[in-house]
Amino acid sequence: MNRRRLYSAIFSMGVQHSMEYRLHFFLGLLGAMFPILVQYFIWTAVYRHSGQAALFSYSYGQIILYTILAGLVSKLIATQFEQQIADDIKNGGLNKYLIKPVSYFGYRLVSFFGQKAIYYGITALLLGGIIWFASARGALELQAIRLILFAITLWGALLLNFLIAYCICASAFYLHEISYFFVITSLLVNILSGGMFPLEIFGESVVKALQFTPFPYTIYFPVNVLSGKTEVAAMYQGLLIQWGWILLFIGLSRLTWQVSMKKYSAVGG
Amino acid sequence: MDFIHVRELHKSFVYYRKEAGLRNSLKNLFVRKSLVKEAVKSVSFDIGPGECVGFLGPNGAGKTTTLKMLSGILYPTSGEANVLGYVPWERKNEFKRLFSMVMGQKNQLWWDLPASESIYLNKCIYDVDDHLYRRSLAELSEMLDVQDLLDVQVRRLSLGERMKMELIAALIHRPRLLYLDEPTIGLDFPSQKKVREFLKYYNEQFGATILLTSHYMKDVEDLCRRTIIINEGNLLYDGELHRINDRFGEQKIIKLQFSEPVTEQRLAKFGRIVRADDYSAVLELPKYRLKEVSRAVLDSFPTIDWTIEDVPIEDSISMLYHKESVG
Repeated sequence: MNRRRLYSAIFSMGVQHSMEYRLHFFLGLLGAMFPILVQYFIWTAVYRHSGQAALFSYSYGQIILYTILAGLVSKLIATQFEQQIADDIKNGGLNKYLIKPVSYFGYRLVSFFGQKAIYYGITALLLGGIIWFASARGALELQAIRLILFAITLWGALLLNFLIAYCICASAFYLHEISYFFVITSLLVNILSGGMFPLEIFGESVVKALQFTPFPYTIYFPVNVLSGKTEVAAMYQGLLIQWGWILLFIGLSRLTWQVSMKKYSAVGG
Repeated sequence: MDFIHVRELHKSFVYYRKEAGLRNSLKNLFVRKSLVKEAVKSVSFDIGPGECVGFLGPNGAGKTTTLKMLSGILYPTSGEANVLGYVPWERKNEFKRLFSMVMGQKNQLWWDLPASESIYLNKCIYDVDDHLYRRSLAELSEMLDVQDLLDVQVRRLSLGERMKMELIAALIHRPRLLYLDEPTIGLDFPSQKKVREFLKYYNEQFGATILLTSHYMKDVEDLCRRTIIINEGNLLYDGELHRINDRFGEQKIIKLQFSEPVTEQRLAKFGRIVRADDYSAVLELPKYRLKEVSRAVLDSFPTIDWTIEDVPIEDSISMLYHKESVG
């Protein structure tokens, strides 16, 4: 009961914090437009010159829709707290959480959800507009069940991406200067998750191999659930796998942080 | 039972040395010479409930490391400690509810939000009853005179105002034990004074135990009867602050003023000359010679005014540091 009150306070502070940086968010959204635009022109040129109706099993309409949706979803699930956590570890900011009866993990997670709440709403509106437009143009066949599953998998993606980033953050206990490391890992994770373009581009074997990693379940999978690329049966299976990964990463993040925290304590802050 | 019980606490860190220059940087990429720094070497002391103890020492003496061990942030290399019945580094939540730590150089408030939000967050973290929370907040903010600033974003507050908010946030759950690591660092004099008065009030009103480190002697003089001094990880002194002078064979200071010039040569035989010019002099001498010297300087010099004082505590403490590091 009291924990609920604590976490609702942290959530609300996360929301308020995000409102302090409204411009930051809108600029971020604007920033997401550029790669989408660039890809739009590239794909248009590619499809026009190939003379084929479908490439990598995507029709022109589907690939453009994928690009837009994946761009938005990557923006939505982006964590952006790596620097902050690394800074806490390196400069001893972690101390203030260690001496309080609160879990750092819970604190960060709930505050992250709080900071994302408004963006989630805005992105939902944007997505609504895009979905409406796409279905009006015939690029998307609208199904209620797909919309619902998309919303569910999106929350799952948010959680899974948080957990992956949180595990990566533990490296700050071992490496001292890691800002560039984070740039590279987040870019790599984004590509492997299908945030840039559909995974089919890498070839069938890569897609198969990636199915055994958590990455496709953060962007590629939710987007394909919505767009209708994923078969009905595969949707439920994918949802299960996504939550399987989430559980696994909860365990993994606990473990890495427990081990690392011992090191932190031993070396000092 | 003692409130804080520390026995032979020891903490060493491994660190790496890099000599200046690119060549050594390259060398360090492959071979690093690891060295061990003993930040705290076998420190023991006991603190009773309600005591306010000043924890002094030069930079790098091991003060903060000791506080970090006593709050559970660091594991010691060896030794034992018991704080309020708990072993700090076991980090039990029940223990964490009993104390607070304020570091003058670190902040715990959310930078972009008003301080009231962070204070409310602490209320939730420590599970403070609503009624008690409202009362404490009103009381603490009035004492520190910051009621009007509670709803201002922390980043817009001055350093002094921010420190006051830090204190409110740290005390909202009425901790029985308070660790203060240089709480007045960088503050202007009125703010320093206010913070000191407030801490004194808190200590007296709630019987809270305080362990305070500071480089401002005034903080320690005003708040703490007892002082623990450490240097290079060793405990040098544990006792009442104003009795530090006893360690130096009861030295006294005589300040003299003359109506006519007096040369240093003539003064030298009476004691150590701390400072002297033609018309004034400051001498340091053992207490047992006080009477004899006073009589002699009054008789043999054109003295128009004189005072007898204790050696300033700062000087005694510096001597203490120096003596230990040399000997």
